[in-house]
Amino acid sequence: MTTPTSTKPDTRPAAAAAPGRSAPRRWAPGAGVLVAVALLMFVPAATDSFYTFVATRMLLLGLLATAFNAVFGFGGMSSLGHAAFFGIGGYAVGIGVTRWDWSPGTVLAAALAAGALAGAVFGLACLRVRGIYLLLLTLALAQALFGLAFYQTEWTGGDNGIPNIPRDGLPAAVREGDGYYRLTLVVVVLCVALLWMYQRSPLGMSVVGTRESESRMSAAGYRPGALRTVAFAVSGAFSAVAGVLEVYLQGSVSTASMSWQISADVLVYAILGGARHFFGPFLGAVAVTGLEVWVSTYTDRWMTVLGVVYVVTALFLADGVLGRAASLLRLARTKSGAGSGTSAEART
Amino acid sequence: MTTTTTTTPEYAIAATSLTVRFGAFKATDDVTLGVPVGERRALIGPNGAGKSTLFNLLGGQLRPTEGRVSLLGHDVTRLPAHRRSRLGLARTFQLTNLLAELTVRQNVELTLAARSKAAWVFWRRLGAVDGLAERALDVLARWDLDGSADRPVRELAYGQQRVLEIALAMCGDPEVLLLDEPTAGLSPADARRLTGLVADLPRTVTVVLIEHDMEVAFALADRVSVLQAGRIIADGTPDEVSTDKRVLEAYLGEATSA
Repeated sequence: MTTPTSTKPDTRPAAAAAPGRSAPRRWAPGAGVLVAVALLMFVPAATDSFYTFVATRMLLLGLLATAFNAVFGFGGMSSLGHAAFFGIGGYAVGIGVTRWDWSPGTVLAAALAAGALAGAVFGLACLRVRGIYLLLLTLALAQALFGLAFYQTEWTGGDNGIPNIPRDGLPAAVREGDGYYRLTLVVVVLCVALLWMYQRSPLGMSVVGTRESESRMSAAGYRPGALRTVAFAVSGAFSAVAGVLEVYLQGSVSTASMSWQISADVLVYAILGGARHFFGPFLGAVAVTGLEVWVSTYTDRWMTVLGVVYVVTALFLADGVLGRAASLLRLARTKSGAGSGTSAEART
Repeated sequence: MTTTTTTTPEYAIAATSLTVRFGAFKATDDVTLGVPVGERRALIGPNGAGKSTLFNLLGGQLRPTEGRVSLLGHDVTRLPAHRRSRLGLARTFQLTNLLAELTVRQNVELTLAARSKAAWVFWRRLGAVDGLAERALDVLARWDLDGSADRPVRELAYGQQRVLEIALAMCGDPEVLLLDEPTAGLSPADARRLTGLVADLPRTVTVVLIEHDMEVAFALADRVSVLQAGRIIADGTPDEVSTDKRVLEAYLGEATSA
């Protein structure tokens, strides 16, 4: 009873000072992101149409990876079924536009809803499985959807898919090439910003808590099952948006958008970039996509190079590129700021 | 039996004929135990007596094969852990069970958020909702953890982790607190500090604790229940229990002969 009164005068000023002290730190990343987005707007001006196409794909795959990580890195659930959500978004474009002449807004809303619903179904189906079994069950569910798309030829065109999807619904300024790149940039930035807000909110953080300890969270009054389902629904919705962007870009959709390779790719993006960091998977998607284009100009053996990259990642970058960068930064900081570290410990 | 659930609860937490079987093995065997409101009860017994299993039955981590659990007059036998938590039950675990990769502050904020509408907020930062940041600071200061607020829990000294467990358990102002070996594995100094913290808990909270250190158990508890092989073999004040013949045979006898 005596300690609180003695420590409170200490902590209150510290608490009051904390927001003021961290204010520049809190605004710096935001300003940095704004500058980066503004610069990215000019990418098409600096490159030809092929690289603009590549950059567009980097962005939408980055969104897919970031959405995936809401389940994988932050939820601690290894999904191998995210191609399903990506494909659902793609077919929302293909079927919606060719059959009912949906506007892009309607397509987006439908994709978000269908992606969230499919995510929730995945989440509920996976309530009782963990680890490798979760991996297999999500893969099986995604393959079931793949099979559905493959055999419902009347709706999906089966193996041939839906070709020549018109982009007439999009405003003329953003319909093709450079314009579409800018549209993608805006949509991706918005979605990633929403995911960022979600991830640090009480809901998003409690999903992280469930990753750390389900029994702790349920003893505190949370329902881990509900949180896991929420994580899948959020992830599914935004993965579907990435699928929408992909199919508007390609002008066609087929079962390739639902193939399990996409699920495996996105897993690699997350691991390579650093799944414990919000921007790690995005970075991984950009790096792998860029590397693929770059290597392909020299050799056809892209898969071999990719294999080497995986091995190097597994051996030397266990927490991804961002994870390694963060640990190096921490090391540098503790070396330079050893004095402040000891004074902080003296306070406890 | 059914009438007791409607009147004011006689017991804060109670078990009636509680049995749990793992195959042919009865980890808890027909345990009936009632802890009145405000009492401090120690559960002691040799290793493997079923103390932690009983805690898991009371806390909702495990469902009994037979019998009932009631919490503050509610029959909670079939309720999952998070529902019992909302009724006013909190617990710690035998092995430290915290959100290891999150900071101490985040552990407290998340635990506080569980009881408020904040839990479903998805558009604002965790600390910014419902005054969680300020409330978390208060909790950290009260438990003398404010110096390590922004360190990941896994970096804390073990003693501090045990303190944080109790701090988290107390976050929701529980009416019943289950402490599973709070001093296990601690240095004597840390164990003394933790014993002091438990002794200083408000008397309005009903505390049931598992404790291996007999001195600690007898010092903290109003009454002591002794478990052996899944059964309660004795029940009474520390003085009564420490002179009980069966207890001496089953438990203290072992200890003195060792």
